[in-house]
Amino acid sequence: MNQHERRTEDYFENGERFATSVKEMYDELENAGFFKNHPQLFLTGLAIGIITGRKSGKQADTDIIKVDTYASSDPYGVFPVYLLAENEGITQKELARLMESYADGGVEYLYEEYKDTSEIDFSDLLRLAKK
Amino acid sequence: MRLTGITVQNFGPYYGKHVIKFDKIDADRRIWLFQGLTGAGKTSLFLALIWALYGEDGVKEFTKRTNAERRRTIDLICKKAKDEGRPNMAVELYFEHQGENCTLIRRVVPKRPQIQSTQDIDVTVSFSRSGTEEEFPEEKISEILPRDASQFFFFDGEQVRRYAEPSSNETKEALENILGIPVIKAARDNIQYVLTDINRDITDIKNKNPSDEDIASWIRAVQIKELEVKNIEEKIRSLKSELSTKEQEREDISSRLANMEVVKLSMEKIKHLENLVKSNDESIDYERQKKRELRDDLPFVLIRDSFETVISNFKQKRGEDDIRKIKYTLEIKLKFLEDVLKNGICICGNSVYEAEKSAIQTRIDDCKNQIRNIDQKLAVVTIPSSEELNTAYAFIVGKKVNFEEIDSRIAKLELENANYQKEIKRLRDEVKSSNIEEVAKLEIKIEELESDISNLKVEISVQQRQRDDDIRTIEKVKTSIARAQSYSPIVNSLLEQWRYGEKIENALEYIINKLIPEKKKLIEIAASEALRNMLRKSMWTGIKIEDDFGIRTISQVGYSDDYVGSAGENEIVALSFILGLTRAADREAPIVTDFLFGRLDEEYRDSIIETLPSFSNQVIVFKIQNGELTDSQTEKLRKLCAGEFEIKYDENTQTSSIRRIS
Repeated sequence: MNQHERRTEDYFENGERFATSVKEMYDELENAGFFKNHPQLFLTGLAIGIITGRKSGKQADTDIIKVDTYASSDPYGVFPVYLLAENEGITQKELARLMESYADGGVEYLYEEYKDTSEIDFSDLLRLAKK
Repeated sequence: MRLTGITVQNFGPYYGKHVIKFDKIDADRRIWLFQGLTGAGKTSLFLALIWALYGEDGVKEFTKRTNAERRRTIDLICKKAKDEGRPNMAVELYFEHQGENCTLIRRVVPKRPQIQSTQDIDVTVSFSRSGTEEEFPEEKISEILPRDASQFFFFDGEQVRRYAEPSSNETKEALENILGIPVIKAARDNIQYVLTDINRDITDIKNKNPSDEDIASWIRAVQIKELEVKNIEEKIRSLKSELSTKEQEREDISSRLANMEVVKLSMEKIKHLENLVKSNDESIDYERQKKRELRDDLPFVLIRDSFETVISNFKQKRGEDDIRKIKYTLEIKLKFLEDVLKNGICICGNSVYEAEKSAIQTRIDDCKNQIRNIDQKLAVVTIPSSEELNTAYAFIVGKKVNFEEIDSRIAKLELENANYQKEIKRLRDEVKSSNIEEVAKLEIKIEELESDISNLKVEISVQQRQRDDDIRTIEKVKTSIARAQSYSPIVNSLLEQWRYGEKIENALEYIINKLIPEKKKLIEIAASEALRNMLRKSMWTGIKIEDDFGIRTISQVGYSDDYVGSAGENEIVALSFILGLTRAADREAPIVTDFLFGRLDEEYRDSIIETLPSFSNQVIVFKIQNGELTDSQTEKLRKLCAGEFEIKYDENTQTSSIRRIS
């Protein structure tokens, strides 16, 4: 890693955690077998939140994953880098809150689809991203 | 502590060095008498002793008690020595303590010959025991004779009366100080403070975490859930056993059907098709599993197109104008310019002209400003660099999910299965329509069995899901219990600390409650004895120290309501009290008194002279020459003396001198 390159942990304070306002949706989607754990759902929710532009308006109040757990899934900070490029000049605290808000938006989107159809069509999500 | 010598140099009226030696004392002769006229230098010698032991603070305290002018160290230096520009003042004390020879030297070290203020001098102290210099001399002296306690060993006869005043605050403080009560009370207060702290920590931990009752109820809930899981597993086993029986029964009937010549061919085909369906089902499960595993990469594939757009816009906006690159370039430029300026040689090898130097310096400052601005910006916000963007993009390019391929494979397999099922149904219908009664019966039986099997499978699946949910819940609650219980060792350790602290607090409380009354009793006994010896009035038989530390004299009919005595009587009562106090204090130190006989009538002086040897193993008395005592009393005192010194003041030289006269 050269002097300009950074990994995900570098964007956040040591020991920081991402929180959620939709913990019950996490439990239900994981119990239904669509996702194996919180980090997988958080990351998918984050991606869907960003591509659909959906942010949750609720206050995230329940810790959901540690930053270093998140970083093991996204070591080069794809999502932090994306959000920093799109929102130039934001602080690291603001970045963390933005990620939580998009992730909750994305999880809500998945949950609604699951409630409507009892299914989540992942191929549909890919088609949605292509649009 | 027993003084063996004092050397005074340039202290007060004592110009130059003056040496006083206290020889070994006989048991009967323990008094050292210093006599001099008023203003000869007796009090100065007294102050020299106090200054050597406790420095300027000790002198200030003593002069405060005696209402004398408070003196700083600089005011104590001999005027003549100061005028001559040699203001080197020193007092050396030589004494025996616990069988060891000790030397204490306090010295003024002038920073310049002519001294005007405290800033012009330094004061040094050294303390040696058996020839070895020790660290922290002030603390060592405090261990031998604390400053608070010293007021009962070094006192002015005129001023001691205050101890005899009823409920005197000074008496209370004095008593507590000499018994070390403030130290014990401070220790107790500290312990109480620590205990309050520990209590607060325990309460904090308990408030922030679930209560023991909560944890117990969770444990009970887990036990109930585990029992439920056990029951469900039992039920699953029974359902599976039923399923296995039904499947076996269906298999048997199918075999019987297959062996019937008329439907044999159809039954074989059905069997073959069922195997194909089973195999396809397994493939579908495998593909779905693969799809689930690919979900880790899904978010990166989902974001890829959007990422490309945003990053490309960002790069377009910034171009290669990466803020860190600019900083890096500026740093190189700065280093180059600084080298040029430092070596005085420009890039072509020519010397830099003086006139060019200021221009280079301006460019250096400019570079530094720009770097500072970038640093300030980077400290506030985060701006991704080109490298970060490229690394992140390279990472997501490597991520792929072939959901469509998997979906198409699943769809193909499902289509095949649908066709197989259709064919199976057609063949079964064919078998049914064979119009053979037995075949029809068996077919109906197979249908019933298949319906039962299907229901059983659904029921098993429902029960398995319930069991898995319950197991997950149990795991979660167990994790919470483990986390909550992990606080218990911390609480236990704090409770242990609290118990130890409480023991110490109780011990200190015990000392305060027991030691003080016991010591008070000792003081009362010793003081009463001294009072009876010194005071001839038979109306008072002893001294009582009240709970509020007021002193009362005891008469033959009980102790008086309020003690009111003459100034002389007060002095006798106070001296008795001091005598009691010094004995109860378990400290061995010389008693040094000034103007002890001043206010007393002849009768009391006699009794004090007689009692003096019992004050301490060394008593140093400063007395006005040809004053305070009658000739016969002076003679009586001399007989008890180990040695006698005369202090004289020379008007011409305005200095004092000390001479041993016996």
